[in-house]
Amino acid sequence: MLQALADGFLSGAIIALGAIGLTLTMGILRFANFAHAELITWGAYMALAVLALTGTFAGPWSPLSFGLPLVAAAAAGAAATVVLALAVDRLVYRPLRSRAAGHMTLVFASFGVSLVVRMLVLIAFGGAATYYSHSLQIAVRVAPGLRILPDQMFVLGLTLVLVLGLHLFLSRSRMGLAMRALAEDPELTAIHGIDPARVVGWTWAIGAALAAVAGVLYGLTIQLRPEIGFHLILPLFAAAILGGVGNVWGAVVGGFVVGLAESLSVLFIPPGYKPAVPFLILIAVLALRPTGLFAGTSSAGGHR
Amino acid sequence: MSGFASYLVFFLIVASIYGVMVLGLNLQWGYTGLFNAGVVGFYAIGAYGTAILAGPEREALVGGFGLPYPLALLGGMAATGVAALVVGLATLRLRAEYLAIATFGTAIGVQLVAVNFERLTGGVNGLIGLTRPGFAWFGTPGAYNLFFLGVMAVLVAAVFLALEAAVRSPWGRLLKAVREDETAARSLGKNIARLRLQAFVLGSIPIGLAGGLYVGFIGYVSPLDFLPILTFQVWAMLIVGGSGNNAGALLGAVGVWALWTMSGLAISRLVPVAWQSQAGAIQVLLIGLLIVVVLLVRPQGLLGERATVSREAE
Amino acid sequence: MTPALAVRGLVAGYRRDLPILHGVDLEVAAGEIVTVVGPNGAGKSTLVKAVAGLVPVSEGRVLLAGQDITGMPPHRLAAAGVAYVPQTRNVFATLTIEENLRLGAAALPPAMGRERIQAAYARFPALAAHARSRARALSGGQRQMLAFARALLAAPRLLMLDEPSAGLAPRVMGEVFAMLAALRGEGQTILLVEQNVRAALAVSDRTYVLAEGQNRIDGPSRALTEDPRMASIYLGDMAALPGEGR
Repeated sequence: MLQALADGFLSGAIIALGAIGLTLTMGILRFANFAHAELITWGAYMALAVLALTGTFAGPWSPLSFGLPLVAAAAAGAAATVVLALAVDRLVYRPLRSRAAGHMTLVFASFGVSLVVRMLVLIAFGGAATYYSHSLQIAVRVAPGLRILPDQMFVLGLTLVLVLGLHLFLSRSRMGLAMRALAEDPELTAIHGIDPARVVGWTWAIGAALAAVAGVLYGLTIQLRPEIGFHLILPLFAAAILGGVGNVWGAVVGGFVVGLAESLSVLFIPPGYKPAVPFLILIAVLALRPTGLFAGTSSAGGHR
Repeated sequence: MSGFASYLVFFLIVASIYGVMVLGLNLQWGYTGLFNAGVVGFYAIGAYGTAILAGPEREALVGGFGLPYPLALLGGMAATGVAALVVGLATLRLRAEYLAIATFGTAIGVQLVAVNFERLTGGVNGLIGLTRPGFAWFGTPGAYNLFFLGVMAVLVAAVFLALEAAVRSPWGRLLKAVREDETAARSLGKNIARLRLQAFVLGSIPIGLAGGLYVGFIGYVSPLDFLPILTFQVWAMLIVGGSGNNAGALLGAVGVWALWTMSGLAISRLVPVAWQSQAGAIQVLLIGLLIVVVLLVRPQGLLGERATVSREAE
Repeated sequence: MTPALAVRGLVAGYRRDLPILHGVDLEVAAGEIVTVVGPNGAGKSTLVKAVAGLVPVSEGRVLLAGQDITGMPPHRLAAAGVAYVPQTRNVFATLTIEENLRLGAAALPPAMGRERIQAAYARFPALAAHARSRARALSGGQRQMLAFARALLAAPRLLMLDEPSAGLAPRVMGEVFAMLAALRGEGQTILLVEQNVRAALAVSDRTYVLAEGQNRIDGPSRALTEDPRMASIYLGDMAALPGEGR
């Protein structure tokens, strides 16, 4: 029970980081990006590629399993993911937006993008599971019946730091303010003299960087597989919608709720059905309170 | 029959099964603008529904009612319609992308049930040894396939004509009016959520029918036949042919299925042996690229949307 | 002298194949308040939106102090000195008053922005009192004041207001027009669209009357107050008017 709770917090942290980017793009770019989860896969593998190039040029920071090389690789992976997100926006989504294609066309295109990204990773890195490091870690006994790896503590701590940093950015900085403004009303934002294209770029960059970090954390604490993103699509959407589309704190809370629910579900249902838990949460939210727990920036009512 | 001719028959049967699915999806997306991201889930419901109803009674399994195939097929279609009704009721009054997310989840859920609920679905082994309808009448698999192709031709024609009649009816014109201008349609006092629900359920039924036909053709069901890529294939077929055009939907089914088979063939010939394990990924990548490129370069598809419907509305 | 704003033969509409304006001409001199009035559907709002870059222009020119700004995207127009206050949804309801003003000052150097925001609070004490609350909590009149204050932060060369009195209680409406009179005293150049013809004529220097996307009458506001053709336009009696068959 206690162990399931700890696992739930861990996967919740990863879902939360992914869902922040998803909720931002859903709120600001106004379409459900099914390719967002692939940014997680991409970031994780780009970090792996960088790590393979640089080698482990410095030892791990005991008691963690990793050191400076992985941190550097994660930063490079995040940069590569930002580049991918901006490139896809430039090549696919922006032309569709400027043609005033319906937003469902963008959703549709995002499916195509997700296939392409996932398959590129599969072709480049192969389908087998892999790891950043094969060194074993000794779990720390936190309480009776609860063991946590130092890496897992790191994941929770880093998530907290990133979420707080993002909160400060959104509430204090001009760009953060502009992002919230764009989420509410794009036309009025442009009237204020703010270039929507710049704000859109920042939105992609933040979402992509957080997704890449989520991918590295996933690879660090679980494993790397090309399907990481695909299996996270539903958990991310469940977290973002549960928290209220456009609401960053909501996505964080939603992420932890989904992670915990998945993890605790094995106490009640056969483990084979665990991946259905986010879907059940999603359906329940849509049926009972489609605006999410915390009202987001855009209304859930109305079909288009 | 020569090897090529028998392969052509096989190819056309599979293409026509896809064609029935694409026609159903066309009613949802092409005419109503509803995004079904879980085509494979509804297809699987039709397939498993048919298999469970038609299959012989067996140990430790629910189902196995041994119904005649046509009845089982109808049952599979009904099961698909009910599933669509439930998903539609939960999401169709909300933002359009919520339907996409919910149908995507439905497909995942169906896959999980197919793999895990062994007593109903046979689990990873699937349900095997189902009687292929009418197989006993023919001496050879070749002759049977020819017969099956004939049945498929009749069914494709029937679904095509039924959907054409539906979209040309006042009901079909209303669908298009809603898709193009919701506010105007709402001002006519039409219940739009209800109209969407009707189109979504009605469009799901051919998708379930295709699943049942597939089971009839190959004689078993296995979760491996219902992978997410199928949804993308069907989508690619629809937009390549031209959404909002039933003839285009059929053209796209044949065209994209031909591309898929040929690319598979080409990859197996050209790609070095060491890379063969990734060859499937290249095919899937091509489908993804096809979707993105068509949306960007030729969103109307090969045939494009017929403009007649709105003109007839006068 | 080059007018602050010159609109020449403007053809514009939300869809290029369905123009709402059919060749409108208009000028606003520096320091002048010009009102655009006309019956519903005349294209008044479309005119200011086209100038603000929000409605595509298919023919004609928009000149800001002689510089061609036709088809410029809205965010660059704001930088060029055009401030526009839409009729509805003119403040960010989910942001606080302070944040709304900070956005309005986003293009200014930070110190100047802070200074101008303080000046705005001095001018609109009600806003200062609610600085930390979300704009959705404001009354209709307070929202209008916030929208004005935001638009003025950038010290625009041209201020465009789309029906600022719409939907306001009579007393609040009086405050809006008093505000306009004060701005006129400060020499602010304003293009005003109004339904409230009498009040608009009273506060402005010159007036253009539009109907069906075309110019009908224009002239000094004072003279138009007495013009019998005004009534016929509002009654839809187009036959009596010049400019027919244009």
